[in-house]
Order: sequence, then structure tokens, then C-alpha cells
Amino acid sequence: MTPEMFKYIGAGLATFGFVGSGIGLGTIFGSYFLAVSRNPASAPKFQTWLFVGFALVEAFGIFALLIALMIMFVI
Amino acid sequence: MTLEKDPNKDGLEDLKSRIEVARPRLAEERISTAKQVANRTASEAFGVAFSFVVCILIGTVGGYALDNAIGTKPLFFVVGFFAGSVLGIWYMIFKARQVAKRDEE
Amino acid sequence: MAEKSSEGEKSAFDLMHQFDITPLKVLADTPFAFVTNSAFFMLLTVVVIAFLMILLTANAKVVPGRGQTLSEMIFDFGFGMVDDILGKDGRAYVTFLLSVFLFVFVANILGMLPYSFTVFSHISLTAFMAVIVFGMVIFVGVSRHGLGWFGIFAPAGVPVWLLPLIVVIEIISFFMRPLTHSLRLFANLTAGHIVLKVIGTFAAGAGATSLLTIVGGLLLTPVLFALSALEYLVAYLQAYIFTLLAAVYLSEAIDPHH
Repeated sequence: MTPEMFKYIGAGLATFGFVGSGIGLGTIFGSYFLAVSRNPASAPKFQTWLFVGFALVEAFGIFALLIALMIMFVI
Repeated sequence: MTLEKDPNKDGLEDLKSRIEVARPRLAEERISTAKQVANRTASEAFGVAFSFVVCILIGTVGGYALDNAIGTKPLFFVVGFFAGSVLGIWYMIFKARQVAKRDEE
Repeated sequence: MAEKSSEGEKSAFDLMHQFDITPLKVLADTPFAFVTNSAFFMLLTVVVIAFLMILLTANAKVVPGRGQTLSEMIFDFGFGMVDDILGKDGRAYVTFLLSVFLFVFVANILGMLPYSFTVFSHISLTAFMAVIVFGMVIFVGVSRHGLGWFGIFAPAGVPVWLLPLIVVIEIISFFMRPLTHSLRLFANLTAGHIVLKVIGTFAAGAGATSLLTIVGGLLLTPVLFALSALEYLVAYLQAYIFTLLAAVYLSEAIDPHH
């Protein structure tokens, strides 16, 4: 078991962070669809905050990807 | 009803001359004082925020250079970063209170 | 450095060198030898934006032509974002927010050109922008509301025995803001470009040792195409999100209790 192998295992384990990001994105877009289906005229009102929520949740998935890449290539 | 046959043509000429007189006065009052204050604060904000970042940078780089000179590797780097940021925040709050006092008049 | 082959030959997977900041080779013997590729691309971004906006807004007529419509769309975008979030006092910040958006967007788009350098794929540059926004928030808040602006750390309607904990949590999350603000843009761009480089290396047939890998590389070319389209979308979206969050943080400074 060389240190290289541990790097690959660590990078693979770090991708479990995407689970949270996937669940969060599904929740956000699902609630947007529910809100728009109840009141279609409110679609442009919620659109700004849809994208804010999307970016905030996606950020944590991208942080997990960044840590995986850092483990693989920087350390 | 075309303009040549319009019985109110003199009224239109009068209106035109009144608009010509009112136009420069409207242009002066267009940006009210509240907006002027907001505009000036916005541009000052960018300048002060830039100085804040430069202050952090000076603290960090100075701490790093001091580290390299003396040899204590992470200590002055971290201390310089926090000192620079605290100094920067103090400078920003100081200038902000100045601006708040000035805008109250 | 990913050294993946064991025979000691130079690896085909050279993923992180695209992010190196080096002085430009073209200017090596001139007095401008200190200019790096990062500085050059930042300058190029500013030149492109200035050129574009001057070209689009020249000869403005009441009934707009094609170019003027485009520039009016850009300005409407800026004003729309500000009116949504900042309210009536926010008109003063349209310049700043629109400049931030255009800079990040054009820098990201220019980073998609072949052999170019993505300016915001370094945490130093995104941290600079995020800390500027952070500093503006503190300055604008204190200058408009005095030292009482720091009362946003103690929200209304919190029971007294819970207040110390809430204040500590609020202060920590306030200082975490520039960190996540900058890290989001940096991580999106860096990860996107690394993924593009990996797929592109396979699609270009590097490291191809058998027919299977060559065919696999050919099949990856549409995937590379789709990923590039996604990366252009990410360029726009991340610029929009960066500016939107800057506007949201500024709205907390201008109007702390909404």
C-alpha cells in the first residue's frame, strides 16, 4: 500500500460530498416547481431566489469536488 | 385637425416657450440630494474597501517577509494577517463614522 | 502533478499546469518582462469590455438599432437586479455591480478560448473581489446606520437566554461569507477546467495504447462538446451568482431590517 493508493482512495471518498448537493438541489427545484404550480404568476418573482439557492447548494458540491482534486493532485 | 388649421396654435407656442424655460431647471433638480449622498457613499465605499484589501495584503506580506527574515515560519504570517485585517476593519469603521457624521449635516 | 505511468516516461496527464501564472514569453526581453499571463488576461478583459460598450453605445438614437439594444439589455439586467434586491436606494450601486458582473463574465468567457488562461481560477483573485464586497458591506452599513448597524448580529425576537449563542453563530457566519463567496467562483472554474482537460486529453487520443482507447477517445468528442457548452453556461451562471450575492450582502448593509 503505497501513499499513491491512499491518495486515490481519499479522492474517491471525497466524492461522497455530492450526495448532499444532489439532495439539496432536488429539494430546492422541487419546492420551486410546487410553488409555481400553485401560483403560476409568481414564477418570475421566485426565479431570482431559485438561482441564489441553486448556487449556494451547488457550492458545497463543488467544494467536495475541489477537495477531491486537491487530494489527488496537490498533496 | 392639422396644426395649420388648429385654433389653439398660439397656446402651443406659449407651451413651447414655457417648456424651454423649465427644462434647465428640471435638469438641475433631477438628481436629488438623497441620491447624491447615496452615489458618493457608493464610490467612497469602493475606495475604502480597496484600501481594506490592500491593508490585509500589506499585513500578510509584511508578516511573511518578517518570517523569512527571522525564520519563525508560520507565526508572523498569521499574526500579520490578523493584524492587517483588524487594522483594515478599524480604518473602515473610522472612515464610515466620519462619513455618517458628515452626512448628518 | 499526476504521474500515472510507471515506466518513468513523461505522463500525458498534465492537469494542473494550465493554472500556472508565468511571465509572458513574448515579452521576455522587453522592459515589460514582468507582465504575467494573469495580468495580461485581466487587461484583455477590461479592453474587451470597454471596446464593446463604447462600440455598442455610440450614436445612441431614440429608436435603438441592434447594438444599442444589446447594451440596453445589459443595462436593464443591471438595473433589474438592483431594483429587485436593493430597493430605491440601490441605484447608486448599479455601476459597481454591473462592473463586477461584466468583469467576471467576460473573464470566464475569455478563459474558454484555446490556450488561454482563466483569470478567476485562482483563489487570490476571487478572494480579492470577495473581500472588497465584504469591506463595502461594513463601510456602507456603518456609514448609513452608525455603529448600531452591528445590531444585525442580534436578530429581533430571540429569547434572551439564547442570545449569546445566536450572536456568536451570526458573527461566525458573517465572517464566513467572503470565504464561501470567493471559494464558490474559484472552485467552479478550477473544477470545470480540470474536467475539460481530462476529457479533452482522452478525446485527443493521448495515452491511447489500443484500439479500444482510440475508439473511446472518438466517442468522447461529443461529450467534450457538451461539456464545453456546460462550461460556457457555468461561466455566465457563476458571474451572475457572484454579483447577485454581492447585491444581497449589500442590501443587508443598506437596509438591515428589510
